Amino acid sequence: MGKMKRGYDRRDEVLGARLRESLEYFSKHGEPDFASIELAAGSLGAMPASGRTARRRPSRALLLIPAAAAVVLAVGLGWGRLAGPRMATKDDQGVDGTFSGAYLEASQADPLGTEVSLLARESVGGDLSLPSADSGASDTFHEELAVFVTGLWKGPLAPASPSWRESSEGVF
Amino acid sequence: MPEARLPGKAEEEDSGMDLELVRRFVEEGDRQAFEALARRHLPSMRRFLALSLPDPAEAGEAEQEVLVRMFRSLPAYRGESGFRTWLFRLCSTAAADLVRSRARDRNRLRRYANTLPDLDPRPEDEPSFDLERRERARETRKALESLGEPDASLLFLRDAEGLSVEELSSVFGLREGTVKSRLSRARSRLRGLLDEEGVCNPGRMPWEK
Repeated sequence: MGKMKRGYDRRDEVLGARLRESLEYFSKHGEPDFASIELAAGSLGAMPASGRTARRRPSRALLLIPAAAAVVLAVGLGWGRLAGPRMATKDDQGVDGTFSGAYLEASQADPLGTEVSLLARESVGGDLSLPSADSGASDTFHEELAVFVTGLWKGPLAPASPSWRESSEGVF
Repeated sequence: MPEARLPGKAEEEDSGMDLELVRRFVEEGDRQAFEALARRHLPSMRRFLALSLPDPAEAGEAEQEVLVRMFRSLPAYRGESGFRTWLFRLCSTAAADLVRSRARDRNRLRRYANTLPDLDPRPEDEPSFDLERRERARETRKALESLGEPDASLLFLRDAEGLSVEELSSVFGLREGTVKSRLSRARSRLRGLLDEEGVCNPGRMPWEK
């Protein structure tokens, strides 16, 4: 058994030497270009000073999150300040229901802002008129929604109660 | 089956030296350590890539890619598997990626093998391979490639490079039993092919003539 095993290993060894010699003949020779390897690997960025340093380095995606949040906040605040003066007053709508004056100018300058205001009003009464004081409890939700949407549009600096709501006692 | 001790294996498998070079590169940023590590394993790596990629230009491209990946991935190497096992896995992946990126399959490699007698990647070294050795190298390679993959790579890495069955199992993601049965079948087929060609006398080593 021992002899057979040794003979078998020897045959493997001969075969291995033959394979090794064959592939040795076909394999590339010469020195690798380590400079280009390092360059291709992006050594300055990829090569860590130590393994621990590499593991501590946050990913770029994580760094982008606070930056994106800051941009969104800045845009939101700035837009809110601009949108505030454009809110409709009771003088903006004429008796025939059409808009004129400052509201018309605002709607031409900022169609999207105007649309949001109109949608907020429509959510209250189904049209451009404001809810009456005796509309009952069922209108409370719509009123709160309108205040919320308008406040959202005007930003955190807006007054708690919009001007049109203060005059909601009557129809204008 | 006991491990066959192959020429140079003891030096190449000095895992302690490998780990020390990895540590110097990763923790101290020692580029010389990286180059020393690459040079230690370059011959084995090149032989394996020459088997996987018969086109010398492709093999050279794959070698470059392996070294780049090695440079990038060494910080993640934990030493859980032997360095050679890890490196051969890189080689195998890089070679497969290269072949896939050119939309060619293993059959293409076999077809390409038929043109090998016309290729001589190292004409400057011709004197070291006389006509008989060159012819034997070509026939041996042709027979090896006719086994197909992964049998050719398994057999080469086991018998020529001295990887254990366990290491082969890790490199190729095969069960050890599968590796053993494939190795046994591949050896038997290769011996038959080489005997038919008359280029191999398994009973004699080349230097025993």
